[in-house]
Amino acid sequence: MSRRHEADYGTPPVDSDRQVTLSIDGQQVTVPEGTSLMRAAAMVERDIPKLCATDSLEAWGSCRLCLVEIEGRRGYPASCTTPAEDGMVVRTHTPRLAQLRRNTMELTISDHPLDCLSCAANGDCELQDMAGVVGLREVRYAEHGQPCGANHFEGASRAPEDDSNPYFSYDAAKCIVCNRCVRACEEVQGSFALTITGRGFDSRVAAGANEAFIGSECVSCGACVQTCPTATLMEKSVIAHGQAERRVITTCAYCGVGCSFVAEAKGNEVVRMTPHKNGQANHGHACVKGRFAWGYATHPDRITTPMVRTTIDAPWRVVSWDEAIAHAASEFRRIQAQHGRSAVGGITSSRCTNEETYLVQKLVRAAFGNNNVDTCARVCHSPTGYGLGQTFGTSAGTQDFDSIDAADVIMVIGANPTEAHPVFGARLKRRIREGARLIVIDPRDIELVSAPHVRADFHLKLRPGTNVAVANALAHVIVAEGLLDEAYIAERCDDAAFRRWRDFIMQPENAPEASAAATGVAADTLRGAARLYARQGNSAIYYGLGVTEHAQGSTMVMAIANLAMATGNVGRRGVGVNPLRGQNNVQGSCDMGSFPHEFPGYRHVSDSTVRASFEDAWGVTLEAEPGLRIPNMFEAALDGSFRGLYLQGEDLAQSDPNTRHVEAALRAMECVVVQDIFLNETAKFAHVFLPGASFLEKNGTFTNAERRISMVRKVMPPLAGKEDWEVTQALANALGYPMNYTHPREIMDEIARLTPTFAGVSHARLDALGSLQWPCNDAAPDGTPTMHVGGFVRGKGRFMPTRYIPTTEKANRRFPLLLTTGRILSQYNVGAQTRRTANVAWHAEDTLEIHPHDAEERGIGDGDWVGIASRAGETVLRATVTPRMQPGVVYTTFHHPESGANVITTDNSDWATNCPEYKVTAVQVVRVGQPSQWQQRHRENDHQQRSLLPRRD
Amino acid sequence: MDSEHLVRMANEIGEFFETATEPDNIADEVRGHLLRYWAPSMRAALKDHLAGHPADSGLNPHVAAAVANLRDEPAGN
Repeated sequence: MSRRHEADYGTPPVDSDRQVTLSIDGQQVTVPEGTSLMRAAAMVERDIPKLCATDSLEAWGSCRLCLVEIEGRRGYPASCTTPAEDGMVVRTHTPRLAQLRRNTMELTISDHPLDCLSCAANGDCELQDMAGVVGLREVRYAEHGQPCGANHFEGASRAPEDDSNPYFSYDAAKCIVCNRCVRACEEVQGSFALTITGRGFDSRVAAGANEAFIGSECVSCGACVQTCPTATLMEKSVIAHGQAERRVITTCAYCGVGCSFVAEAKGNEVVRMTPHKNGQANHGHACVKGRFAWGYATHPDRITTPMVRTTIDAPWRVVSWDEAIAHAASEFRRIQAQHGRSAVGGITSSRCTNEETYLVQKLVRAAFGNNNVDTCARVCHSPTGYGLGQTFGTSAGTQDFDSIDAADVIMVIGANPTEAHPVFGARLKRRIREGARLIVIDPRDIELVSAPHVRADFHLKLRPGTNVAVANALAHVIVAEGLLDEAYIAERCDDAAFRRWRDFIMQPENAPEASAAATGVAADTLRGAARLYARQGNSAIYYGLGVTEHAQGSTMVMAIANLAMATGNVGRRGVGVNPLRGQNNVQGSCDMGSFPHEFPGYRHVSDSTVRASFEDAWGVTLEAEPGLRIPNMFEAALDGSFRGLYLQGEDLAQSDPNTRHVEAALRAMECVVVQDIFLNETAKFAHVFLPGASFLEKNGTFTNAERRISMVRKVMPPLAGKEDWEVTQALANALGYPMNYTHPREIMDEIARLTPTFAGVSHARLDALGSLQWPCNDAAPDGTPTMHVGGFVRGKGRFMPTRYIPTTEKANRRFPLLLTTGRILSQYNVGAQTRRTANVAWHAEDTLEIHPHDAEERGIGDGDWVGIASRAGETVLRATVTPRMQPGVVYTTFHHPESGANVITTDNSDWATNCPEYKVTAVQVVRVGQPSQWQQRHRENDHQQRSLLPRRD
Repeated sequence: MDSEHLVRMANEIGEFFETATEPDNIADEVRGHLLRYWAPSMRAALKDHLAGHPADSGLNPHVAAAVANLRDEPAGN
């Protein structure tokens, strides 16, 4: 398929200080030196015919369609591979060029089936377009309309089709061997999974070593499908439904990269999602989730009617919206009357829009009258908020994604971008291939440690739970070896705090030799990494939940900030401290005041000036004390002081640690209101179910990991009749607190009025500009790609001493292994969406990764069922025996509810924020023959809860 | 609120500030953290626990000093 709706300049833009001026068909054009003739021509609207060229890929020069004439030169050079030069006189269209192009096209078409009318690419085929453009009128290598001679599409010589990928097909009969797919796989995605096999006439595209696509290294990002100029690589959805009739630009609802997409639809049915070429986060690239895994939106499991029940063991009763809302409101008011104003609370959703999140926290603060509001960031990046707030003065990443193109050294800590943030991961790999150096700090061999044409210079394969010791050792080396950026520190950082930190970090316990026994990282490796990070130009840190989800999560974030300040790596392009956010709008949900201690814009509820501004705007008196955080809500539920919860799009029962504890807390509540698109795990404990809307069914905005606010636009009407903000508004009104918004743009206008960092944001401006990075206000009307330029938001950067304190979750004789958790490319988080798509083809179940040594000791073979027991609980998974692990450490994902990964995680948490310590759980692993008791009970409960749903015919 | 859990969380806050600030400031920093991030009901529960177990609260000295200095349960709960 191609993307004929977007301008294609044929070759990528070139950055150069020198400009050259030339004449193309008599038009003068000035371009940066190194620009191709093809691109220069396209800039003066002289589109030269092409097949193997597209501006997302480097020029290749194989199709011979883009020939031009240049005065004073012999022959007909390809315009895609010929750089523009000063004074050149170029002609793109002459009778001789037309004849050559027709001849070339004639040869290409002679080996291509002429079933255009019934071809899936009909209406979107570059080959067909180019045949039209060059005026092809006959194919002389055919008799009676049939080709003569050997070809690849007829009878016995027809190349086989490969339908193994669930989302696209590969029909080699239609391939013109332009090599675009192979180059997209290499240059854009960096998988190197495709190649051209054979020579001459035998040349064909092959996945892996002539394997089926599904069994090859292909990660199904779809870049090859997108760039294919014919129907050779084609989305099955388009094969089934035909070309789209309308296009809506929106934002992906999976990870925190926040890719911009064009949703292509017929009527209200999506037929294809293509990454938006002008998307500022993704620049036209996508992954297997965003591009392909959107079918969940219309999955039969969607619940589209409100439901109510008296107890969690009773059958659900379908009711009207009015009845469901009125019931929920009266229950919340009853609980507050009986047990106090603080006995209820709400959870905002990092999957919903900024406007919806803002509204839920407004409902809690203004209608419930307390600050018991929290969000899933509690269990992922709350330490980022605290740690960067303390050191830099603001709690978000410092850069935009494009910044990585200027990074010389990239340090990835506790993150697995190629699986969890794939589009950014592909970008990172490309930068490494361009020559940037790489340090990986991770207990496991993630893909970046060693991938095709990517190899980490240093892999600090630390023991889980020793992050702070490693970061302190890096800092120790930097200080001890005189690698500090003294001038930067003197100018930008608080001097007293720096001196105290320097004295602390120079203590002998922080030397790499001293901590090596605890961390498992050899001192010389660590010293090498410290020197590389500190010495080589621009160094950038990217980190993930492997940093935050620890007992010392906040401490580690501060330790990272210390490293960046110590080496002068904050405040310009190519450097910085960048948390890779998990959910599509987790940045936004934090920005929008989802935490119990903060109003929108990270302003504490005790700040009387800020509070007064909200009180004026909202017409109520607001609580000045922080409310309960999610784990505190559970504790309060168990002691009877917290009894009602409104959850929008968050599945606490599956995603939060120590499942048995969470389930007991949910059972103890009197009114749990779940607003979701599916009957999730938490809904099994709910009394009211309010059907939610997927991202395809609503308007609003998401904010990604680079603080970029992008529009979400409705592609189809909400299946249940209401967008999520409308449901919150109805609930607020039923609670007696009036809300009268008619469109999310009005909510954003209110956010902008009340939040200085959002003052310049509106839907109209986003429509005009595509996206905006906050802070966006009078000081930065077009947003802020890089933070802390010239000085830190808090004034002087503050170094914080970060003592390593080992977690209490230690391996011992009873639980000798450490379990850590992570994600896989094809599945997303708790899997509610991706499990309801064909992505299960890649990951049908969670498995336990275990090192061969630990496996052998326990008599465990690959694929065996193993029981994993911690002090919190026990579950059973299949084993994957792999040397990616280090001895003593096991690993699993948590995408499937029946895996019960959180049955074993404990309620240990970060000291500052209560972010759970998901990444370290002491466990024992043994071979077993059947599922755990928890899993058997879960299965029975799941079956029972489904039987309580209304019957659907 | 499970007081054992509250004690553990409060001590963890104290452990951080024992290194992060001057000895004279530790109790103030801990108190400030509890005021900024803990709901009043949690602070009250911890304060009650300390009052009921002055000798064996399980709280580290700086943390106990911080908790003892928390203001009374404010309005609104």
